[in-house]
Amino acid sequence: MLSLRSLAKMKLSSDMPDIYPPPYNIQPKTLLSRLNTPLGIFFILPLVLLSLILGNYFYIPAFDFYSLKTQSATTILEQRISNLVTTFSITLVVVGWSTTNLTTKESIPYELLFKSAKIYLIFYYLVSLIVSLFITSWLKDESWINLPNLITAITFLSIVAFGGILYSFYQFRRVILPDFLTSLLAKEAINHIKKDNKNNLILKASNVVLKDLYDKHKLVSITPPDGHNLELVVINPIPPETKSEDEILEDEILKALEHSNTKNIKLHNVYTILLAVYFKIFPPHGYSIQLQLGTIVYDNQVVFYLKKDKLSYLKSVLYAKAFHLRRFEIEEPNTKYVDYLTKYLQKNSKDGNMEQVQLALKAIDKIQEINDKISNYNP
Amino acid sequence: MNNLYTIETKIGDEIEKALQIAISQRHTSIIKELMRFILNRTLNLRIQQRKNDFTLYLNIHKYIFQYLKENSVNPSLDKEVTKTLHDLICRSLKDLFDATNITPTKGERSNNLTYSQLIINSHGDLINLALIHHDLVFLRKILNNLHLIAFFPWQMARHLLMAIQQLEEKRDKTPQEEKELTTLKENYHIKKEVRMLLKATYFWALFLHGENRLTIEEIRKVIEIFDDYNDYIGEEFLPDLIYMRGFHNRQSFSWVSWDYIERNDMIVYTPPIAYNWELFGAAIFLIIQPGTLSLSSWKDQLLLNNNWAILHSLKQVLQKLKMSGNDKWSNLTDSLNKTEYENNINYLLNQINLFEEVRITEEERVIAGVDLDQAKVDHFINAIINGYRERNDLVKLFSTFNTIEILPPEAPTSPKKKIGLVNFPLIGSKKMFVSRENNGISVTGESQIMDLIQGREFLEFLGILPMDTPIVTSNTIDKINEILSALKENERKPTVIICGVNSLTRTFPSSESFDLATNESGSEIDLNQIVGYYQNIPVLRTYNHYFNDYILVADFEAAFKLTKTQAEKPLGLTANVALFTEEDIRHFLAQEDLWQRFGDDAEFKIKNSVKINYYVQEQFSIKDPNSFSLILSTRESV
Repeated sequence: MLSLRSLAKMKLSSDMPDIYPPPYNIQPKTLLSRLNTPLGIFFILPLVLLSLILGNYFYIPAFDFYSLKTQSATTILEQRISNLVTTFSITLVVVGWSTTNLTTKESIPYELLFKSAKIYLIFYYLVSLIVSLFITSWLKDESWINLPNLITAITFLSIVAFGGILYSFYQFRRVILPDFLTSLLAKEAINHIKKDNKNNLILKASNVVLKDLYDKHKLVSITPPDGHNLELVVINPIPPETKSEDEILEDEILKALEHSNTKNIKLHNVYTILLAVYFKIFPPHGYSIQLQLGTIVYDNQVVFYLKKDKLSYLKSVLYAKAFHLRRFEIEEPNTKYVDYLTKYLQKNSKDGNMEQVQLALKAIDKIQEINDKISNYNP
Repeated sequence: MNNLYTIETKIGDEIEKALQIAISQRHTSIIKELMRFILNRTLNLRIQQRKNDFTLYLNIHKYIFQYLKENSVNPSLDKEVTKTLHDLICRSLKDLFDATNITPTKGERSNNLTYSQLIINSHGDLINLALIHHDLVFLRKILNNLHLIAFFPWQMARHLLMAIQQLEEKRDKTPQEEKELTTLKENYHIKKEVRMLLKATYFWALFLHGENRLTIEEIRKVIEIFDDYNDYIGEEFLPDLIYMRGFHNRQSFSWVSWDYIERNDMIVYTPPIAYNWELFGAAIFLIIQPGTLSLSSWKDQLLLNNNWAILHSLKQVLQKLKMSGNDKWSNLTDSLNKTEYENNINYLLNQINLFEEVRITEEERVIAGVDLDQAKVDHFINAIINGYRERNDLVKLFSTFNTIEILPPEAPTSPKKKIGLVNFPLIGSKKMFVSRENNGISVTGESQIMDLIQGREFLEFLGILPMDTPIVTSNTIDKINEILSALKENERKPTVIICGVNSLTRTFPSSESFDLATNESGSEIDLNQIVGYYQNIPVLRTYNHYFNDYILVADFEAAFKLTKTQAEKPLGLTANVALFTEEDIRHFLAQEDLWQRFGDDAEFKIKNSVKINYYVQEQFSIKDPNSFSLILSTRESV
């Protein structure tokens, strides 16, 4: 692994696999929900086309008992197109009717509805299917098209589409139920908490990873006395300027006031492999502070001390190259689901709906459980 | 972790709002459900030891009570809700407290105390709210809660203290006994906190009556409530009063910031501080129950560190109460009337007057008549002599270069000036030098005395240097090189560089020929303040204020000389500790106003002191002015 950030991510995944699963461990469910976005069409259409092309060349052996003639295949193809278009329009009407008849008019339940009913996914799937059928009917006389094979594949894909529509209707029905709504809210809130805090936790983990690296190379923290004779490795150098004595004093005061970080520079990444190589070939005398990702980097921040010799300046420049700095902005956490949940709690407290209050509290409890796990993370 | 806190805070705030809504709609079952959730969450946070969030949830109890009081329009309609909330708040605080003490902590016992203290403080907040909103029913409940918290098998504080002392004195404690000891200590601490809060409540209520915030019926009711807790108020009365007036960590007691006036944003207003009211309340309490003030049992405590001043203040308050008439205070209880009130005040004033006449402790009386323990004196003297020998770099320099000349006292040229302490009185320090148990010698005293002579000697040394006519330069390092080569040309051997703090940091760190001092260096000179070597010459740092910007480069052996008068101890040092003679005492009593502040007890105070001699008679001089140079380094311009 090349960088500290990726190492820290790995450490986080191994420490908390239930909250931050490793990247290779993606569940089919998560994959589907990732496709269920406005931009999902760019993945779904190629997928459908690909499966049709595969269906054209590969015969499904389970259907050995059944042979389709090319003539009837052509008829079926035309029929399939009209069937699917009809289904699509009926689905649109039903979805529209259901949404207009929902009791709540707030945006978050709609958002959850679209998410949980996988509306985007199913619509895009249907549209992609129709588009690919159009293409098929246009190309049906081409010699490389094996129409019977294609029809079999289309039938399968259409059955999957009908299943999806049924699932979608079922979810529509459920979202109106309070227990499902609260659990969905909790789930979404938890997802956002996980996402919002992932970076923080990576920063925490990076401290330990870097410390391990230092320990491995037997590097210790030192504080050289006033009159030391060491080369400093500086990672955020400020070019020296000729200034009068008064200006220097003024700068010193300003620095002390603003903690000397005027540009909001943070440590973004460390190329650990470079660092490890440098440690081997020009071992430093010691380090000045224990860094971690996200540490605020001050002007002329010293990280290592090197023994002074003829090449020490060059070495310090090389060392500084292993650190990647970047400006930072503070990100506001996303709390809209928590907000909605608590509003829901308050509304039901006002109306005296004991059952709903209990459900909301249960959901809040779930959120806090995850929140606790994250906040108590100690790598 | 900024946003984690935000989520926790957000949820806490919103649940509090939901609770408020439920209260305003009078949904009792939902109030119960929400309170149960809050209790569970608070317990959970306690187990996770997240103090900030724990406090956040704990404070919900207070805010909810406040909301209830401020928004209750129709008391008869709100009766059920009020009762439910009263019970729930009390019960959850009690549950929290119990859980806090049952929860096993990972080796951090002090943690428990922190959380107990937080819970007791939130009782304090609720008490104040109850008093401001005249809710004496809740006051009774919350005081009962406090009583339950402070209830331990060992009821009285002094029994607890005795048990603690017994265990502490025991050697080879088993782990079980250690555990018991910490539990006892914790219990004692909690009991003390609760006692303080109960006292503060009582005194504060009396003060509120004085400010016309509580009517006479209400204050009588409060006094009636406190009939059950009189044990707490009477217990440790004077020590607690002293503690209340003198404690340092004001943050840890919520009652310090009690207030009764609603603050508007625009108006600057100073709330009453505890210092204003607690003595006043205590005085009124004493008038109600004069038997509580038993001065003789707290005699030692009062005499310690001028604690008797509190009696003086108490006397003043009582005198004011006596003079200002008795209409307001003479009918606080059924048994009190005008004559009784005056009698009680007179009795208290008499007690205090009687006590103030005698202010010397028994211990001081005993020590005044005892001789010094020679072993302890010797130990002290040896310590300061060793200190002089080991820590004094200047004298070490002179002895390293063999330039000390010791003359017999009768020689005509022997120095007469005494540097150090001559017949210096160490007030009240005789107890350091008499044999008693558990009383070692104070180490800080020794080092202070040693540094005193060292500093004065260095000043004497500076006196012979040409401090007014140094070589002024901003480029010190070149100047030093120049001087070094000049010295070498004159066949001198530069042996030492002495630097002030500023000049050191300005000069050497940038130089390449400067090496850091390490243990491996094969130097013959063994000094404490060597910071490094410049061209193999030791560089010495001094913290003397006058020398901050100077640098002295010298062939030390050729340049300076130290003449000392011989004395009983090595290096011309005179050191002894002695008692004041009868003649001294007569002399002091007649003249010195140092002892005047002790009044009639001055003689005892003198007999509790010793005089110390610790000085050298010496003279620094310059042998050869060409063997050294003094540089004044100015700030370099960039």
